[in-house]
Amino acid sequence: MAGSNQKIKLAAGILIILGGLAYLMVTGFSSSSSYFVTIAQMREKGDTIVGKSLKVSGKIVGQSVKWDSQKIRLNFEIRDDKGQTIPVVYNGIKPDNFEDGKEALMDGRLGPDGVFTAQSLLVKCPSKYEAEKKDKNGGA
Amino acid sequence: MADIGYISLVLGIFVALYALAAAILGIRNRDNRLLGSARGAVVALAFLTTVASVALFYLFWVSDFSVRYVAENSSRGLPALYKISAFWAGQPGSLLLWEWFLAFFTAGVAFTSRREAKDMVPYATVVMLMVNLFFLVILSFFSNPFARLFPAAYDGNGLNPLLQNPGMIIHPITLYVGYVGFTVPYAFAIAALILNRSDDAWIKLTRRWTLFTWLFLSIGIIYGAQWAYVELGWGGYWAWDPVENASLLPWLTGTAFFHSVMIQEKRGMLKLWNINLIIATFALSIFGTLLTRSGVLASVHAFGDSRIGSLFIGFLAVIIVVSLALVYRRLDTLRSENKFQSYLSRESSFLFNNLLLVGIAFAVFWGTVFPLISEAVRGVKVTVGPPFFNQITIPFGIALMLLIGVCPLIAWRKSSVDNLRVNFLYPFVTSVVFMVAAYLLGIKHILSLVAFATVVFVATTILLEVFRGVRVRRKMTGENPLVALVRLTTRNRRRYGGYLVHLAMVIMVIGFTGMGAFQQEVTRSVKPGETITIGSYTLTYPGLYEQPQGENTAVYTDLAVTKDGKPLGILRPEKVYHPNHEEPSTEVAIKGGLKEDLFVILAAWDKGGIPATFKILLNPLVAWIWLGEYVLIIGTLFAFWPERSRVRQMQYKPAPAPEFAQGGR
Repeated sequence: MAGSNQKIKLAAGILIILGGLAYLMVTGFSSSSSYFVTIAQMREKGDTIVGKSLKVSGKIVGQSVKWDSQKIRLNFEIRDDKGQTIPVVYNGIKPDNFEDGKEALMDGRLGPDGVFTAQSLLVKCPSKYEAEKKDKNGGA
Repeated sequence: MADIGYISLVLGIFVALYALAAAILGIRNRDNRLLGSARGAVVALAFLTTVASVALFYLFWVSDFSVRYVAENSSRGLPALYKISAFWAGQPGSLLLWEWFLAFFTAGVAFTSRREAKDMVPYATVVMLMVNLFFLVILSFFSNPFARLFPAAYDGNGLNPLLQNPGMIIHPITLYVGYVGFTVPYAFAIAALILNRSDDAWIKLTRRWTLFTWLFLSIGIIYGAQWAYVELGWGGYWAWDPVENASLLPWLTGTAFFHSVMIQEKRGMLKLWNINLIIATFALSIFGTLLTRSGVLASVHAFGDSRIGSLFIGFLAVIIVVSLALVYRRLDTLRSENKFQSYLSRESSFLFNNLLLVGIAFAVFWGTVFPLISEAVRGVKVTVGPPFFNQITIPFGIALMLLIGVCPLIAWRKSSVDNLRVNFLYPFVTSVVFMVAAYLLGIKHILSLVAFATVVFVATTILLEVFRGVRVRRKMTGENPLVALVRLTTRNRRRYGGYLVHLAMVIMVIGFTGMGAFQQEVTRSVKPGETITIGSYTLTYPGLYEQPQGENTAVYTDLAVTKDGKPLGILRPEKVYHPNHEEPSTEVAIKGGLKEDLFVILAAWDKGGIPATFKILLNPLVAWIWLGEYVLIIGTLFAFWPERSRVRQMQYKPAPAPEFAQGGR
C-alpha cells in the first residue's frame, strides 16, 4: 500500500488547484462583470447604479459631439428610440465614422452627475462583417 | 459552375448516406465487400467536396456575381490572392472548407491500414460520416455557398478590408484543420467505446493525428493573434473575445489530452478521463465553429445571425448525450489498472498539469458563455471583461510553466527528494539569481518577476536535461558533442520534440509578460513640425498626405523616428478608405525588434491634418510571441516526424525488436 499519507498529499494538491480556481473565478467575476443596461434603465435607476460597471448602447446624437483633440476627450450624447438621452464623456480617440445615428457601444460607469464615463467605445458599423450594399463613399 | 458545385453537395449527402449504410451493414454482417464499398463511397465523397470547393474557387476567380456569396465577399478590383481567400470570408464558404477537410480526413480514417486498427476503422468511419452528413445538410439547405443572386450584381461588395491581409489567408485554414482534425481521435475513441476496447490502441493510432491537429490549431491561434496585432490596430494581440476564446478552448483540452494519454500508455491509468477529454475537445471544436460561424455571440469576427445556430446546438447536444451514454455503459472497463503511488511522480505531475489546463478551459468557457446563459435564464445581459480571464490565466499559466519545468524530470511512479535536488538545484539557483538581478535592475513588478523567474527556471531545466543526455551519450559512444546531440534527439523524437515545444512556450511567455506588464502608451495630438516622445524614441510629424492605392485612397503621414537622437528611419501609419466599405481601415506602422516594437496608429485628425492625433505604443518583447510560434512549429514537426526505420518496421513486420527498430540511419 503506497500509504494514505501520499494520497492525502495528492488530494491536497488537487484541492488547492480547485479551490484556487473557484476563488479566482468568483472574485474575478464580481470585479470584472458588467451589466448591459438600456438608456431608459440608466435614467430610471439613477443613483442605485452609480459607480457600477455597465455596458450601454445607443444612437449618437450628431449635434452633441464635441471632440477636443488637445485633451483627447470626446463628449457626446446617445439616445434611444424614444429620444431619451444620456451624456457621455470618453477620454480617448474619436472613432472612425463617429456620426449622427450610428450605434455606439460603450463600457464604463455612471457618475453621480449623471454623465456616463466610457472606458471603451465602439461604433457598430452595419457593413463591417457580413457586408451589406452601401452607398459608395470615397476619399477622406 | 454554381450548379455543378451545388449538385456535388447534394450528391454528397446521398453518397454519405450510402457509405453509412454500407459501413453499418458491413459491420453487422462482417461483410468485407460492403466495407470496401463504403470506403469507395468515402473516396467519392472526398471527390465531390473537392468538386464543390474547386467550383467555388472558380466562381471567385472569374468574379461570378450571379452567386450571392461571391457578390457579397469579392469585387472585380480585388487582388487575385484575396479573390482566393475570399472563399472563407463568410459563413457558407467557411463551412464548405470545414466539410472539405473533413471529407479528406474521413478518407484518411477509412484507409487506415494498421493491423491493430482493423476492427475500429469501420466504426470510426461511421462516426466521421455522421459529422460529414451534418455539415453537408447545413451546406445544402441552410447555408448554401452557391445560392443565386437575381439579378446578378454588376460588381461585388468587396472583401472586408480587415480580411485583406496575408495572415488572413493562413489563419482560417490552419484553424479549421485544427478544429476538424479533432474529429479523428474522437471517432476512434467512440469506436473503442463501442467495441469495449479499454486498451490504449485508439490513443496510439491517433497520436499522430492529434499532434498534427494540435499543431495546426496552435498555428491558427497564434496567427490570429498576429493578425489582430498587425491589422486591427488597437495595439494588442488578444482581447478575450468570444471567438478567440472559442479557438483556445479545444487547444487547452487538446493539450491536456495528449499529455494525459501518456499516462494511459505507460501506466494504464486515467482511461475514463482521457475519453472524456477527447469528447470535450471535439465538442469544443464544434462549439468553436458554432460561435465563429453562426453569430450566436456578438463578436469581432462572427458573421450575422442565422438559423444554423440552433442546428449546431442540436448537433452538439446529440454529440454530448450519445458520447456520455456510451461512456456510462463502459464505465467498468474504463477503470485504471494502476493507482497513483506518490504525489511526487510523473503521473501526479501530469495530473496537476491536466487540472490546470482544464481549469483554465473551464474558466474561459464560463466567462464566454455566461452572457448567453444569464440572458436566457435571468433576462439580464452580463458580460465579463478581460480582467476576469487574466486573473485566472496568469497564475494558472505560471503554475503550468513550473510544471513544464518539473514534470519531465520527475520519475514515473515515485520520485525521491534526492532526485529532485540533483535535477533542480541549478535551475532553481539560476532563476533566483535572475530574479534578484532583475529586481536590482529596476523591474519592480512582482508578478512579472515571478513569471520571468519561472521562465528562466524552465529554460534551464530543459537545457540542463539535454546537456546531461548528450554527456551520457558521449561517455558511451565517444561521439563529438554535435553528433551526440543529433543522435540523442532524433532517436527520442517525441521526448525532445516535446522539450522544444516547452521551450517555445517559455519563449512565448516572455512575450506575454512583456506585453502584459510593461506596455507603454502615449496618445497625443500634434501640429506639423511638432514631436512626440515615448521611451527613448522621438517622432516628428510632417503633416498629412493623401494618395490613391488601387481602388482605395490612403491618408498617411511619414513620421521621422529617432532613438536616443540617432535617426531610425521613417514610419508610415495610414488610414485606408475603401470604395465598398464605409469604415476606413487603420494600417499601423511598426518598427520592431526582439526588445520592443514601436507601434504607431494614426488615430484621427481635425480638418486639414492640423492637428493629427496619434496613439503610440511601446510593446516590449512582443516579437518573442511570434518567435515562439516558429519554435513550436519546429518542435512539433520534430516530434511528429516518423522515426524512419521504426515506421517501416511497423508497416511490414509485426512487433520489431526495439534495438533493431532504433538501428539504421
